[in-house]
Amino acid sequence: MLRKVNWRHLPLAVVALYALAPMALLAINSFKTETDITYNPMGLPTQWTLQNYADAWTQGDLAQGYINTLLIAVATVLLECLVAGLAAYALSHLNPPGSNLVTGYLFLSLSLPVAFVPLFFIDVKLGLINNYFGVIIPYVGGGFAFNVFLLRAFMLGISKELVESARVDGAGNLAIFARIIAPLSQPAFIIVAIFTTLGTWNEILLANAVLQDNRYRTLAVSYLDFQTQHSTSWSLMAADGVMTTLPMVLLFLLMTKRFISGLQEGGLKF
Amino acid sequence: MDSAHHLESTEGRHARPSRRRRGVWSGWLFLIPGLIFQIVAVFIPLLFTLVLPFTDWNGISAPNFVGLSNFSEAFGDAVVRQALGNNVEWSIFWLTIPLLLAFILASLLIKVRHGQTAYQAIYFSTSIITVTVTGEIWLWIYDPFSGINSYLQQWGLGFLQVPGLATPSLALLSVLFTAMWRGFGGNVIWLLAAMTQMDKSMEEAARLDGAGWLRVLWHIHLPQLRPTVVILSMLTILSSFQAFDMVFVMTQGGPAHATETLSTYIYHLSITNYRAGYAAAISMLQFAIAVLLIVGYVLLRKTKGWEV
Repeated sequence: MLRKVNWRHLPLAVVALYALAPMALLAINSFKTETDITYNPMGLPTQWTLQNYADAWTQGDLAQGYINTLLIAVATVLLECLVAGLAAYALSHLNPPGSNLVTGYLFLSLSLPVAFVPLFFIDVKLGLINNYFGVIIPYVGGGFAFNVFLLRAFMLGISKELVESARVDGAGNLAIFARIIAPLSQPAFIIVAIFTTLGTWNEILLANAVLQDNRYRTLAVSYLDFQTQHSTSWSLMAADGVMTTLPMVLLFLLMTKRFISGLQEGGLKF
Repeated sequence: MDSAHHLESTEGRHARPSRRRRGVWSGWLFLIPGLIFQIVAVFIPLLFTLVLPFTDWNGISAPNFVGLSNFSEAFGDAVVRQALGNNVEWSIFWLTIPLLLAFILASLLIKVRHGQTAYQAIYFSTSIITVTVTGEIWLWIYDPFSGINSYLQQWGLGFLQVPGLATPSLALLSVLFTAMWRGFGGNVIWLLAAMTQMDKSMEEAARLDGAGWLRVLWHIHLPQLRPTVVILSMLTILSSFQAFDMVFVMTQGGPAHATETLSTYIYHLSITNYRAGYAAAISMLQFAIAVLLIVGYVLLRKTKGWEV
């Protein structure tokens, strides 16, 4: 009756523990008092407290951080889905003359490094320092090529006959995109949306340079400020850290399958 | 018959030329919005990267042409050499320990019937954690007073204490192990996806012929996984020469430039010191490395005929 357990679960579980333990440590320490954490840095709290969360929320101005991060993420996702979706439609079904040049150009640009220095100074010149668009435009433009390929690969699977029959019925290109292509490509759009959200949520190179004023800082970079102000207060840092990452963790838990299948496809099709 | 059909279709096209023509070109209207974003964010900065290195631009006043002086300065700059060396170390590390770990994990996972997705999810979940928070967690684990080191002290194993981040020779490795914790999951998922696509009959045939696991791995699995491994390695090297986040968060390039990478140095030069021209000269080095890699990859594909 005893079911034989695959020995492979042992090493796999050990690595799972390696992945999860530091996160658990963050969560546990966020509930400890300052003295507790000094004497007992890695164990369970001797007395649980929520004070760290209240303190971190006000001292780290997390409300503003959430607003900034959400605004940037939502704007980037919507713009990216729109422009990359339209372009992917053009490169999969419309194929206007010369569009294969665009495909080639986008493919080449995929692997080029981010030109951070000019990007920053373009923002300076355009007056986009301390402006959400100072990061939104580079995020949309920077992710464009990759997302076009992801969406295009999906749209190539939509049958030409379906598109043609709609055209015969008098539908224009935009109507075909809105009524046929976009709804059928929904799974690919969701993958683009979740990875774009994750990317903008966690980006710090540009955000730290461009959004200098406290009022515009995203959660990821305002965590850096918090770190310099409260470097000794581990429990406060832990609470702030939990609140900074929680939305992404929830998104991940809700859409685990999509995340994984998105990565698998991205890896195979690159 | 073929030519008759051809004639007919061209005739059909001539019947309503203007409308047809507009229809053909209108696809560009769908490309242009995205291309504008792409050109502003990628192409124009790239052009600047090619021009700025020859100037003394500080980002504010008008730039002066200074010839090759930025390049000669970069060649003599000890920090550039240190940073480049660290980027090389970064890519060697990522090509060995995390990749090998991911390969082993994927090989184990492919033989597991239950929980494949759960394991993949757990391994990838570390990549969800914001890099600034990840840095903080590990700063803490490495901390001499609160982390692993304090426990070693308590257990009487104080001699094992390693002040990783404070010791120049170990600082980069400490940052790398943190980066590995955050990023190894993606590799597992990609390798597992490639392994799932492998042809099983070949392996069975080889096993029937009495081939051991090492021979199966070398002659049957690896050749089939080669495209994925090659792409993965290339992406790893590309991103290694742009390594920024974890260093910036954990050490800011210190102590004494021990963990400096090209990107963190460029960042400090341009943001703190306003030396855009000089910083761009150094970023041209990154650009050159990327181009070399891509050319090498394309050549490899051409000469070896690899289907990647």
